[in-house]
Amino acid sequence: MMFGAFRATMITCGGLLWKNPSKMSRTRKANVRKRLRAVDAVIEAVNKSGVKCKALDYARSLPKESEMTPRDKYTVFSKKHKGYRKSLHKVPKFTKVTIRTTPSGF
Amino acid sequence: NSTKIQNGFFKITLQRSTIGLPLKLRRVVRALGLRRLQQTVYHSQTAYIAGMILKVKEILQVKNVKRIPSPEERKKKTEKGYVII
Repeated sequence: MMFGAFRATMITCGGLLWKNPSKMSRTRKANVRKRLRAVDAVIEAVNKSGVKCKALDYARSLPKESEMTPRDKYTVFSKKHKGYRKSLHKVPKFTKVTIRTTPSGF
Repeated sequence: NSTKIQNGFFKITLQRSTIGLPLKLRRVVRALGLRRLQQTVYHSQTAYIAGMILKVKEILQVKNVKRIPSPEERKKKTEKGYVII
């Protein structure tokens, strides 16, 4: 019995369970990098135009895709998880949200 | 400090959808004049336009251009692989 994306499991006989992988696949990570570079290009274009605004000062302070470690690219800070990190794909709307920095020390 | 810089314009294209985005960001996209995907819009290079772009930077593609093409120039099409200069 298949109800859309839900899978029926032994544990939940009669119930439904969402199952997602804990980490991203290589293609998903490649697309994360692609999106990071696209945002870099937007910030670069606004920077090159010569305007000055507070939003641009903040955007320029963000690390570029080439300056980020893989850990920062594919995981985000999470106070509830072991190691205080969770995969980026667990963040809602992660494809349209910019999270490049983590609290210092994590 | 929204003095206009005279060296060009922003060419802004909506690359990704606003579905799932908060209402405020959807309104920012609409304020930029973008109604549908792949739509291109030209704006002056001022601080408030820059602020709007940076608010929704994840779904836009931005280029700096020297001049805005007229509607006739925008309608001109070529074969695949060729670009009108």
